[in-house]
Amino acid sequence: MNGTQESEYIQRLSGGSYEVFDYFYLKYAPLVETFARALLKDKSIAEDICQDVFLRLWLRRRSLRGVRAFKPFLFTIVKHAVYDYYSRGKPIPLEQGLTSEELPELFGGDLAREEDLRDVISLASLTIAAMPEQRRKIFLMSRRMGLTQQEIAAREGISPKTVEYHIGRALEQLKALSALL
Amino acid sequence: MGKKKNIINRFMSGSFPDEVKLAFGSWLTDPEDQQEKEDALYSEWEALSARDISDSTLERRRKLNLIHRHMEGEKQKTLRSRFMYFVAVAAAAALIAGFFGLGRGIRSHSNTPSATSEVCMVTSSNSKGEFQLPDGTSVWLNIGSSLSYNSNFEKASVREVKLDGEAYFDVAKDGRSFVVNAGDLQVSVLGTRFAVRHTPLYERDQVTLVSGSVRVKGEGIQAVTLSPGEQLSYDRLLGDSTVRTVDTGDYVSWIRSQISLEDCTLGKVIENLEHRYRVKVSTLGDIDLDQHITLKINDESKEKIFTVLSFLADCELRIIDEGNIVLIR
Repeated sequence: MNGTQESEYIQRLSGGSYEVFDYFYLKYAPLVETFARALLKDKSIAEDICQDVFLRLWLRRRSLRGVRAFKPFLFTIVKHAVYDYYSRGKPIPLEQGLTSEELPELFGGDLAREEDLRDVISLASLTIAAMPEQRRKIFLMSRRMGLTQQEIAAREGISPKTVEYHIGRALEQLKALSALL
Repeated sequence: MGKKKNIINRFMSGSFPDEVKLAFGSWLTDPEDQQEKEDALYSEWEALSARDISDSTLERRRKLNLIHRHMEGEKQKTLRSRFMYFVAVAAAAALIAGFFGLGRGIRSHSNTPSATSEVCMVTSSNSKGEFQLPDGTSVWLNIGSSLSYNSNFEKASVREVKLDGEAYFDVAKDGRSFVVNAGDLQVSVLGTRFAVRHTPLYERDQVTLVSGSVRVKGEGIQAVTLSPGEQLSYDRLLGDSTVRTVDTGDYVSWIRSQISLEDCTLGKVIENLEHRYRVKVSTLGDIDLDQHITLKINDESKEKIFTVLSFLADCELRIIDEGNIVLIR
């Protein structure tokens, strides 16, 4: 479909054409679902978001009047729907974020690269912040305060096995994160 | 490739533990350098091509049909709201602001016997109400709900009411059937006790049968007869319904002013509270829904109860907006 034809379709959609709505839905809904699924890692949430996006598109069809290209416009709606979803479940930031000195130790020392450390620090801090309370506490005691597993166990009144488990899980999660960086 | 573009690209093509997903979402929506992140997202979006995506035509058509129903629903809604306005002027509508124990619901209907008009009972967003219908049926209306019926209710061959929100019915037997219209669902009974929920807050409508027998039908839904203890849940968007056996007490405990949940699983407690406070509770992270909790509820506010619950369940509480609560661990 060329540009003129598409802009004609958009005008018809803004005027309330069911036919054009169906055309756009069948053409773009699979894209929206795939995109949302890649970002949210959940099939049924992605499906919900897709339905929601197209329903919103229909309800706001009048604002399409000045729109030239469909796909970029659809992107803004999808983006907002994904952002909405993500801002519902934000982790609470750590009282004190990590510092660049702490990073190599957290990731086992192989992360001293790139000038753009800010994203790395932010993502690592957020990952730790998203951990269950107890795990986060144990992990930070071990890394930040340099306590041994025995010392943490004694302080928290839990078994050293539990401490070991949480530290292990925390390291696994950070390792998964390092695949992103 | 820039750092941010890299991160987004890798996230979208891999799989990650929940903690990383949450961190990514939070990082992505953080206003810092937002333009750069959006540009990166946009190039991922542009790179998607319909050719690479396998999609079942049949399934896609089905989903399109569901959207059509919502698109038509929008049209009906505007028509109906005009109609309701007219009715509100013609009939006496009663706004109930009483709490349980303090005041009973008020029933009100037009005194002109010739013209049929609508009788409407409404509860505000912070009160519940108990009503008696002309046939002796008791109705408990949860917060923010409305129930309406025609003024010829007493004479009609079928007793029909329309529900928006959540209600518990104790239907008086009088030989005629009693029908509750709730969105797409139609619930018909002779005499029995059951609860119906149909509100925009939840994607699913519910019919929970406490005793007796009810028949549920609707457009595009196969008619089902429920036995005591069974619950039908209907997904409005997908249009499919399922029946399961539940502990009905969890779904009707909101009608009492006090409840005591002793040694109940967290999942059960959440179910009770969702109905009582009309909120949607989600959990994130490793929250054990099977852990046992004891909780007594009198007239505490929603905030207070959920704060206590988050303390008992050892998790953090986030109230996102009026209707949404998240427990995080």
